[in-house]
Order: sequence, then C-alpha cells, then structure tokens
Amino acid sequence: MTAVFSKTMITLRHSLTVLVVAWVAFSAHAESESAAVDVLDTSAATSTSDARAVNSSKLKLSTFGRIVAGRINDSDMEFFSYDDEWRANRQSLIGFRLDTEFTDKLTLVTQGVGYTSNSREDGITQLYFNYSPVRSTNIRVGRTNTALFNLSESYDIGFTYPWITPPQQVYSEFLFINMDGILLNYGFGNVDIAGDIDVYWGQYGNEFVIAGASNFAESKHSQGIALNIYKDNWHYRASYHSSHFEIQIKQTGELREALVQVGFQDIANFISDTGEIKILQAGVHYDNVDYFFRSEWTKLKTDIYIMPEIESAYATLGLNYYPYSIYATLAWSDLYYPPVSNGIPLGLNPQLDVLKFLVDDLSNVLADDSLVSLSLGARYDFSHNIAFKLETTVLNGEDNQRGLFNVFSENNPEREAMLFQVAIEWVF
Amino acid sequence: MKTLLLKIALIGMLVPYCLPAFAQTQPDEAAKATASYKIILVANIDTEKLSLTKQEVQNLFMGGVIQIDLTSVAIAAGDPVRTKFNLSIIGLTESRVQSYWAQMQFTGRKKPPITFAKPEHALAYVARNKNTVTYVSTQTSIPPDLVVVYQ
Repeated sequence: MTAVFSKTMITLRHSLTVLVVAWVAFSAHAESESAAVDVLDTSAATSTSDARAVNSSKLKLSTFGRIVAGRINDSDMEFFSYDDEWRANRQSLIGFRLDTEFTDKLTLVTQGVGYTSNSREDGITQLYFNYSPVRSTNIRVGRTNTALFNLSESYDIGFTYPWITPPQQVYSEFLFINMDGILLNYGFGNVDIAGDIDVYWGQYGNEFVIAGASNFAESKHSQGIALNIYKDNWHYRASYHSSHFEIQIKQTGELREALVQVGFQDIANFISDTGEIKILQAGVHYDNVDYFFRSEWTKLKTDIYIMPEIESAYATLGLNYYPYSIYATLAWSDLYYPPVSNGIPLGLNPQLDVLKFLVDDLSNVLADDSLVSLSLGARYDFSHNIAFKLETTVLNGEDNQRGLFNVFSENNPEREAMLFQVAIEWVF
Repeated sequence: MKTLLLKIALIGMLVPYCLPAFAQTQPDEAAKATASYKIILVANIDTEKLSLTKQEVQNLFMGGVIQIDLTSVAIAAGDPVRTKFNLSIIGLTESRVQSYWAQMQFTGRKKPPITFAKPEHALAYVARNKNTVTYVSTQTSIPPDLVVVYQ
C-alpha cells in the first residue's frame, strides 16, 4: 500500500511540475498578447472549452484527469491488475495538452500524462507540429497516438466516453502506440454527409516488461488508413493498419538459436518474433437526445508466434436522462495461437529432450483464450467538465483458460468474477 | 457468441428507427426545447439565396467540413437558445456535446466554434464579420443585413 501511495504521489508530483511550468509559460505569453485583443469581443467571449474564442491567444493549455477505484470479488484472481481490495492506482491519471499557435496554420501540440499505473510510461505522450494549409486538411509530423480504434486517441480522457473502462477485449493496453511519423487528415462534406480520412506512416520503439524481464518492441514501418463517415447522428468508422514488428524477447531468442544449432530451422522460424501485424476495425455509433448505441469489431492477424490472433467486439446500448445516462455493454474476444508442430524426437539425447520440453512449454504458455463480459454502468454529468461514473462488469472466461485475468487459481478452473469501479473524470 | 453479438448490434442499430417514442424525455431540457420559439440560423453573407440542410448545419457546428465558406459562432453552455439548438438541430444532449468537444479538443481533430456568453453578443459578432453564421431564436430581432440560411 505504501509503495502504491508513493508511486501515486511521485506521478502526481511530476505531472503537477509539468503543469506549473506550462501554466507559467502560458500566463506570461497571454499577458503579452492582451494588448492585441479586441476589447468588445473580449467582453463577450467566454472561456468554455474553447479558448479559440475570437481572440488571439497563441498558447492554449487544457488539462484532464481521472481518479478510478476498483476491485474484483475474488481473492484468488486479478483482472486488469485489480484484486479484491479497492485500488485507485490502476487507471487514475492526470494530463495536460498545450497548443502553441505559431501562425493560423501551424501549431505545436504537446501532451503529457502522469499515470499511477506501472504498466504505462509517464511523460510526453504526444509532441507534433500540425500544419493546416486549408480548413479541410491537416498534416501532423512528430509523435502522435495511433488511431487504431474509435477511442485509441482519447482513451486517457475518460470524460469523452460513457464507460469507466472501455471493453478490454478491444482496448488491450499493448495496442496503445505512440508513433513517430506523419499523418495526413482530409475532411470532406456536402449537403448529406460529412467525413474525414486519415493516412499515416511512422515508426515505433518501446520497452515492455514480461515476467519481470525487460524486452523491446520495434517497428520501422507502420502504416494505416482510417475512414470516418457522419450521417445524421450516425458515425461509421473503418480502419486498416499494418506494421512490421520486431519483438526482442531474450528467452525465445535463445531457444531459437539452440533450435537452429541442432537443425530444427523450421520450428525456429515458426516461433519467430519478427513479422507482420495487420489490424482491421469497423465501428458504428449512434447518438441522440434519448439513447445511444455503440459497437466496434476488430481483428488482429499476425505471423509473430508470440502474439495471438485476436478477434473482438462489443455492443453498447444506453439511455440518456440528462444529466444522467445508463448503459449496458456486451463484449467478447477470442485469442488464438497457431499450434507448433513440435517434431523434435524424444529420448534420443538429453539436450534434444530439453529443447522439446521448452517448445512444449512455450506452446502451453501461449494458449488460446477468450472472455465474455457484460458491463452495466451509470454516468452523472455534475457540470460541463466533471462527470461521476459507476460501473460493474461480469467477467466470464472459458474454464481452464486465462480469460484475460492477470492472476488466477490453478486449483479452480472457473474464470468468473465481477469487477466494481467508481470514477470521477474531468477536463479543464 | 458472434451470433449473439451480431443480433445485439442489429437490434441496437434498429432502435433509432423502431422506437422513436422510446424517449425518456429530458425533463429540464425538454421544457426549454418546447419553448414557444424556434431556432433559425442567420449568416452575414453577400447572397440572399442560401439554404443550408440540417446535415450542413450539423457539420458546421460540430467541426465538420461544408462546401461553403462559413465560420460558425456559438453560444455558451447553459443558455436556453443553445440548449434548444443542440436538442432540436444537432440532436444531442449538452453532456454529449461537451464530451464530443472534449474528445475533439484533446485529439486535436476539430476546433470548436467561436463561442460567446450571450446570444446578442454572438449576433453582434456575426453582424460585424463577413461569412459568419450563428443560431438565434425566432423571437430575436435580426439585423437587416443578415440572411436566414436555415429555419
């Protein structure tokens, strides 16, 4: 508990330091700008969520945050790092975004986030120039969030969506990629529809931890395309993403070398940690005054053995009763690993036997998995920028599989639990 | 499970068509929305013959692109004219509009309209600036140079 508290405090302290520095810069600049402001317009303009109002502020600071507490009802299991004690260090965060406008067309965007979770790295998550030669076109160059799915770019800003935790079957943490590259966004519209299209290319490299060991994942070529169409209150989205990834995991690298040395090149190739990842996504949203519907389907295909092929989806139906809303979400995912054809003979010599067992062990660790969940939740919009949320999720995995649980009891084949969460979300 | 999800998705997509009266009405907002006036859009443009579709109005005020060079001017949250505009033309609650703009703001996708505290300030700004458009109630006295582009 002490460690958790310390981590939370350190994260908040780092974030606050960044915020203070940004705010001082903002204040100093705003003061120098004030002389240029149209007095009449200033008296009329408000500062809701739109610092763009009329005037010429060249710096705009916005902040966001969330405090989320959760627990599950089973002392033998952990889901999303929640155990059977209430914990607020899993998804709580604080962040800022600073837009520095050099001209009407060129802006530098800096976004930083401090996480309480150890699994995500604090710091500057986005840093890019945005050039907008005409209203319909934006060109981003720098580090940006990769917009794989509907919420990929705004996942940290819980105020923007109804859930406390968006369906984990779709929004797995490893799919949040901050890419260094270029993105072209083109918007279009006519009397019947509106829409926009993204095309992007970039590179990615980051360390990650498996079983306490630090590993490295790198992609030198990631590219994708995403299409959004808006018609009445419908929003349709489809996207395709592909990456060439190299995931350096020390243990599998050593196993591959040993397999090559004894002539089992085909098995070594099969458990390769280098290859293509392709992701397809389709989503439909509908919102009106009284109810909302959201659904999304994703499919990840890969030839990297240590990564599963994943198919996942969710559907949400919600009712608005302003300023309250309630919703139910059914989500599902299947993870599949292609089986290894382990042709290493048993009993010829001890070294081969060890290799055969290691390959079998790897195959057992990377087992197929699935999870179905039903979430029921409520949101109360306390003000225009603060919301309170409640959510409970029934988690139901296949017996004897992992069911996306971090920890489970080997003695109990059932993979069922309930997750309870409360949250406060804000944007300023 | 795939079949079940597919069924739920289809049912969800049909809800807006099959259950228009399903509505749990929004008590406070509905009261404002049913006020005796209507919402119209007025623009400072050179032509007198411009008529926007509802989709174009939604595009304009939700950060989308339209083929006409117009800059949208909005009123701050809490004003009944804005509430009625959001409910009757945009088709969203204030909460949803705010969460939408938070998403657009923090993803840098779209810029919100220029926003004023009161309708008369928005109208005065439009009256002084070419190619701007705002929404007003039908009870508002409209400056003679402005053109009604949606009603």
